Amino acid sequence: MTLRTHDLPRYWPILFVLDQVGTLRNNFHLQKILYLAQVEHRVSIPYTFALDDYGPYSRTVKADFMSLSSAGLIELQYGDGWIFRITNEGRAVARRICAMVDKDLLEEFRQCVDKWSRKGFYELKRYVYGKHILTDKAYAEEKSDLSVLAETLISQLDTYPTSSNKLLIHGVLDYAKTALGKEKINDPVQRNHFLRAVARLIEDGSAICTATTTNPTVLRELGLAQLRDDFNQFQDICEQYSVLPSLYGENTDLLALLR
Amino acid sequence: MESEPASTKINLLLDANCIIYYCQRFDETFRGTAVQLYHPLGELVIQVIGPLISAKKSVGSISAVLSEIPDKGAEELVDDFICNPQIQRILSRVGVTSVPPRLRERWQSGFLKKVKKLRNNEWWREIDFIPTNAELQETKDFYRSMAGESKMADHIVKKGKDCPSNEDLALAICAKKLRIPILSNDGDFKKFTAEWSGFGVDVIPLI
Repeated sequence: MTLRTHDLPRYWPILFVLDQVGTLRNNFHLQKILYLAQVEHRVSIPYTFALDDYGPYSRTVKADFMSLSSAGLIELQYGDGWIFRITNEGRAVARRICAMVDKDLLEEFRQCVDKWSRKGFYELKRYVYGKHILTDKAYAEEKSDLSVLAETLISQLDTYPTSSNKLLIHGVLDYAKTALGKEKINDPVQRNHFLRAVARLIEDGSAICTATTTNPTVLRELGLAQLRDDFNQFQDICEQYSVLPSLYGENTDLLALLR
Repeated sequence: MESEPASTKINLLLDANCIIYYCQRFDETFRGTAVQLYHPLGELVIQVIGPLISAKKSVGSISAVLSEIPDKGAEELVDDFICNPQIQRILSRVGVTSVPPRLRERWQSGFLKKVKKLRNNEWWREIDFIPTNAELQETKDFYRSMAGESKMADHIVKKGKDCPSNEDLALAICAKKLRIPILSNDGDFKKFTAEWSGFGVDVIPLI
């Protein structure tokens, strides 16, 4: 599944959400739907969220919905919180953009919007706080567990016959383990974003190792598209939070990848 | 003025090894210092194909050889590249004593991308060539007819098989049919240039 959306205008997820629901009450819901799409649904949402009074929040989302309103693509009303309504022109733009987006990604995003737009304020808040704002202790424990799992998988791969795929997974797990060691993100929301992405990557590696345990030679025949997609997203996240440069970046000083 | 396009006729075919050496070239930065990591044999390939490219001639290979490269074991290719004394010298000069898997994957990925991007070069030609079974058999028979020679006996022992891969056989058949020489660093070709010539295939040994 291709989930990279670098070539699209940044505001596309806002238009997509409003095209799905027509009207949305409350900036809280818009922010949390976009955040959950980013961390739970593998959708590349081009916003950086940080912890605010009401949980994960991006100032850029607010700036963009203001711009969309000025451009006549959405209508904004402010009463008891914001009310967002997509205009006919906004709907047409949303559909034009969506025609360029991978269908699997749109389906994943659609399910996310459908699931979370129906939830009430308290239910959504409870869910996000309960599942996505980790204590320092819980965060450190999860990081440690993931690091151990990555190391175990790397040792397992050492016994596999050489192949291009083996080196790919080896490299991915090594990069993930290095990122876990170097990460110094302070914001709990951003730490969670990082942790979810690295967990997904290591789980991909674990699933591949489990599937090939009895017959390691089949590893060379596997496609590994999911792992590649998740790895590309993870490298973006590592760059976003200044953890590590992208492994495949052209102008990367390799010292940063070696330390 | 627009430059003259490269000839559509291929003037030289490359075997898998030569393509690999050519594509193992990376511009990197270590501690702010730009370094170029390249396989020394890649320099020899450039010395051969450079004048052809300058003269607007075309160089290429058959699709089967290009497809075979990732299957050859890109991991081993990267290991061979890193272990090359020249690469080791450059790496140690910039303070790299061991290469972690993440960096090896960076070079594997970069290498495979370069192989894919070969076709973006104006001078590169790729031929979709599939030999007939009869042509394959004829070429195998020719190769195996040398089995009695001592240098072939030594070669078979070293290589562990009595015949080139189907991709290399297809390359030889293509070279013969289109009368294009093959630049090769593969013992299957370069150790038997006279014999291949007698069969109608011109082989230019890389070294």
